[in-house]
Amino acid sequence: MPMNQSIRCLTILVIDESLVIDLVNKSLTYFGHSVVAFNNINNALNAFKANPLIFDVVIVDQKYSEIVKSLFYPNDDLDARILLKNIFGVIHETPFLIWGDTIDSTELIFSQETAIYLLNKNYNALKTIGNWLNIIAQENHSISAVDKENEGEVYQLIYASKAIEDLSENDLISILTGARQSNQSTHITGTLIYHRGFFLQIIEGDKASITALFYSQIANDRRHYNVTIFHEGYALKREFPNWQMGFYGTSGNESYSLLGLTDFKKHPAGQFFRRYLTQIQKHFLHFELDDFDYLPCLILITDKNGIILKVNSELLILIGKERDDVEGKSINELFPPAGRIFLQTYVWTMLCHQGNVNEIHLKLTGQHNTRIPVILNCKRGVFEGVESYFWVFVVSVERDKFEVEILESQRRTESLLKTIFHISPNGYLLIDDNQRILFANDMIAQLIECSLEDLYFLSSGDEFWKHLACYSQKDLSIPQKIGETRYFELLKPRLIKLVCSMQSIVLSNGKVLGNLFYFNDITKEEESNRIKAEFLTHASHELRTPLASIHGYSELLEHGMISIESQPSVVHIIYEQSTWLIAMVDELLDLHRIETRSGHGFEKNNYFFNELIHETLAEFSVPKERQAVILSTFQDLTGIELYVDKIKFKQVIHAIIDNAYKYSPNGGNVSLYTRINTASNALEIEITDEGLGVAESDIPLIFERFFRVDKSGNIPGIGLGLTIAKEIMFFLNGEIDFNSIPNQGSRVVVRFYL
Amino acid sequence: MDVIKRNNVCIQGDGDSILLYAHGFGCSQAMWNRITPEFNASHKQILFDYVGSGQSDLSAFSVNRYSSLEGYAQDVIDICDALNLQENVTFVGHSVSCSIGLIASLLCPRLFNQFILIGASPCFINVPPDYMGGFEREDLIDLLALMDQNYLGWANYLAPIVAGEPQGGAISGELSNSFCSTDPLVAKVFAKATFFADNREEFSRVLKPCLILQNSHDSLAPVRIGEYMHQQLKNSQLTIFDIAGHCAHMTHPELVIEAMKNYVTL
Repeated sequence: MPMNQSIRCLTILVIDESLVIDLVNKSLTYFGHSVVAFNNINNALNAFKANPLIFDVVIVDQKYSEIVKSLFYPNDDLDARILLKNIFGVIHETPFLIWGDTIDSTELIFSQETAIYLLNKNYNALKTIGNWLNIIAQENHSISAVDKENEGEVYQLIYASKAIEDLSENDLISILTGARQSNQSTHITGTLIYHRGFFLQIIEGDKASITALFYSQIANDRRHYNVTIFHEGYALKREFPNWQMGFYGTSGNESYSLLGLTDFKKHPAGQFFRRYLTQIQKHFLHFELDDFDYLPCLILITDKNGIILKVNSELLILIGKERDDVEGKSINELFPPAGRIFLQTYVWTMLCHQGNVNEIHLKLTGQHNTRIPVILNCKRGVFEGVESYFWVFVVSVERDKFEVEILESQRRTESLLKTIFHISPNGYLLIDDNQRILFANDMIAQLIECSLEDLYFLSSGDEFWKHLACYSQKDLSIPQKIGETRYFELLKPRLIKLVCSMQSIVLSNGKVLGNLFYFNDITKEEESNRIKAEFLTHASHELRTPLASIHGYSELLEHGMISIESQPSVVHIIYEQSTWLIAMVDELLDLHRIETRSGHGFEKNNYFFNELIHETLAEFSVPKERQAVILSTFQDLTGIELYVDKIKFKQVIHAIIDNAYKYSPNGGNVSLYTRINTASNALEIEITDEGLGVAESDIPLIFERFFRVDKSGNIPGIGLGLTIAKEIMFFLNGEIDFNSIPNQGSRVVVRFYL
Repeated sequence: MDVIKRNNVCIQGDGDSILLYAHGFGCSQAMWNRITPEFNASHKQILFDYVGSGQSDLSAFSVNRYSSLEGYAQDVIDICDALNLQENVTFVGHSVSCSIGLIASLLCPRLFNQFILIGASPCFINVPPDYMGGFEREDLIDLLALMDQNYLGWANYLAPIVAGEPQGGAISGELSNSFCSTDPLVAKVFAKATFFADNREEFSRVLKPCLILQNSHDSLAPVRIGEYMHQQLKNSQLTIFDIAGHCAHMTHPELVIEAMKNYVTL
C-alpha cells in the first residue's frame, strides 16, 4: 500500500447495504475519493481478489463477516471478523474497517494502515469517514453521534486545520471546555479531540464510567501506530497486544486510573496525553483519577531495600522521566551523589530504626541534571502485603531560597560579630538559663587555653567556670545578679587580673536570651596604676628633698643664722637645689610636650655628626670626681650628616650618659662608641658603663614612664629620662636598645637610620 | 577522663571471645541492636559511641582531634586500654568505622585478632585514574550543605544570636532519646573526616584476617570497592550480599549474623 506524505484521493471498497453505500458514495466522492461499492459480498470479494492493489481502503459491514465465514471457512472455528481481517488486512495488507450493527463499543477495530491514512495523511478522508461513522452509529444506536452542527464537531475542524505544533495548552483547554459544553453536562459521549497526532474519542462516558478511543501515530513509521479501545483496560490488553495506554475503571463510585503502559512511554502522544491529562480530567472527564497520581506532591512507594514499587505522575513529570525508568529502580537514582550519601547514612538508618523521618531537606535530580529542593517525610507501612516505605516529597524551591538567604545573612552577622569581638581585648560570654554557652569570643577561649570551637563543646556554663577556677588560687565568686561585679586573679598562662560583670540580654520580644558575662582585663591598668602611685611617692620625695633644703637654708638666711662667710656656699646650695628642681619639672613638661605634640615642632636640620657629638659631650657636665666620657670610633665619620633636632639629640645623649654615671656610683668608665652599621644602614652610638646594671626582669620595663631601677631612692631621678629619650628617638627616625648585666654594667645603643 | 563514660561504652553477653562494634558516620551504637542479641550467649560484646555521637560526652569533643580518622581510632584504642582488652577481639565496623578500626590496629598492633568490615570503603573520593571511590569533591561539599539544612542544623545556626530560643546546640538535650542524636558541628567534622579521608595506603598494610561484607547495590560502597579491598587486604575474604543499601546489619541482619557466625567460629 502506498504511503506517501501528500494528501491524495483514495480508492475505497465499500461493502454494505445499498442505503449505506449511497451515503458513503456521496460523502467520499465529494472529497474526490473514488468509491467502489458492493452490497453483495461475493461480488466484492471477486473484485478485490482480481486486483487487491488498487484499493487503498476497504470498509466492510460487520454482518458480512458471517457470510464470508459461511462461504469460505465453514468448518473453521475462527471468529468471522478475524477472518475478514485476514483477507483484507493481513493477507493483502490493505487497510480495512469493519462497521456494523453487531459491533459494540469495545470492539471497534481499525487496522494500522487505515488509521494512518484516516488520521494522519488525509484529514478529509477522516472527516468523511467520521461523518459516515456518525451516521452509521446513529442508526445502530451503539454510539452517540456527533452532530455536524454540534460544537464538538466545529472544534474538531478547527484543530485539524491548525498546524499541529501551533496548538497551545490554552487551545486544548478551550477545546475540552467546548466539548464538554456541547455534550450536555456529564454526558460526554462521542466527542473527538485531535492534537499532535493524538486522538481521543469518548465513545461512552459519564462521571461513573468511560469508554474511550485513543488513536495515536508517529509519522513515517507505521509500526508504531496503534489504535486501541480501553475499557476496564486489562481485558482489552489481552485482545490487543499493541495496546499502549488507556483508562481503566469500573462503574459505580470507584475512581478511574490512567495507566501509562509499556510501549507508550516514548510516544509523543503519550507524553502529550500525560501532560494534559490534568486538563482533560478537569474540563472533560470530570471524575477523579487514581488515589495519588495527581496530588500536588511527589509520592513514591519503595520496598524495604529502596526499590521503587510505585511512583506518581507528578514526580515523573517533575524529574522528566518515564515510569519504566523509575519503577523497579533504586530510590538512590533519583538523587545526586550528596543526596545519596545523606540518604544512606542518615535517612535509612533513621527509617530502619524508628520507621519514619520527617522534614528532611534533600535535592532531587531534575531534568538536565538540575537540582530540585524538596522536603521529605517518609514512613514505614505495608503496600500490597509487603513491608514498604511511603515517601512524600514537597517541592521547596522558594522555602529553600529563603532558608539559604537566612543562613547566609546569619553567617554574615556571625562573621561580623566574631571579627568585632575578636579585636576586643575584653571577654564576652553568653550563657542561657539552661547553662548553655551561646556565645563566647576568643579572649574567653584563651582564658581557659582552648580553641573557640572547642569551647562550644563544653557541656555547660558551669563547666567553663570549673575550668576557669583551675587557673585561680582562690575560689571564684561568680556574679549572680545583674550589674554585679567580681574581681578574679588568674595565675596562668600569665598573671591576669579580671573584673567580671554580668548583664542580661533581653530580646525585643521581652524574652531573656541569657546572661552576658563581661570580662575586663585590668592587668595593664593595675600595673600602670601601681607605677603611677610609686611615682607619686617617689616624685614627692624627690621634689621635697631639694625643696626642704632650699626652704631650710633660706629660712636660716632670713633669720640671719648663717654667718657671712658661710653665706656664699649656702646660696650656692640653694641655687643647685633649685636648678635640680627646675630640671625635674622640665622633664615632666618635656614628656607631656613630646607626647601631645606628636613630634611637631621639632626643628630638624643637617648636622655633621662628628661636630655634633663633640659639642654634645662638651656640654655635658661630668659629675665631680668622675672621669670624662671616653669617646672612641672605629670608622672615619667625617662628612657624615645627621638630620635631627640638635637640642633633642643632645637631650637623648645627655640622659643616657647621665644614667650611666648615676648607676655606677662606685665609679668605672663611661664610654661612647660611634659606628656605621652597614647592615641596617644606621649610625649607632653605643654608651656603656661599668655600674650596677639592671636585673633581667626589669629590662622590659626600662622605658616605662616613672619606672626606676633604683628602689632605694639613693639615686636621684624620677624615672623619665629614658622614657623621654625613647619618645624623642621615635620622632628622630631612630631607636634605642638597652642591654644590661647586673653588677657588670649596661649598654645602650642609640640608632639613627640614615 | 573516664573513657567508659566518655564513649558511652556498654558491655553485654558473655564469652571468652569478644566482639567490639563500631558504628558508622551519622549514627550511634543503637545501629547494632539487630545483631547483638544473636551473640549474647556466645560472646562478650562491647558497644560504644564515638565522642560527639550518640550518648557520648560531648564536652570531650575537640575539633582538632576529631578532624581526622586517627582521632576516632584513638577513641577505639582508649576503649580497648580502659577495658584492658588483650586477645580474642574481633572488630566489627560499619562503613567509615572499618577504616577507623584498621587504623587503630596499625597504630596499636596488639589490639585485634580479626576484622569484620561491613560496607567499608578506604576512600569515598574519586582519585583518577587508578581509583574511583564514587564521589567527587563537589558532591561532598553538597553533602555538607545538606547537613547544614538538616541535622537541626539550620535552626541551630540561628540559635545563639538571632532566634534567642534554646536550640539543639551544644548539649542537644532534647535529642538524647532519638536515635542519631548528633550535634551539627560534630556531624560536619565527622563528615569531613569520613568523606575526605583516603586510607588506601593503610588498607594495604593490614595483614590481619578480615571478612569484607559488601552489598551488591550499595551506592556508597559498591562491589568494585569491595573487590579492591579484597585485593588490598592480604588476608581477607569477600562476601557479597545481593541486597541494596548501605546498612546490611540494619536492613538484613539475618544475612550479616550468618556471615559473622561462620567467620567467628572458623
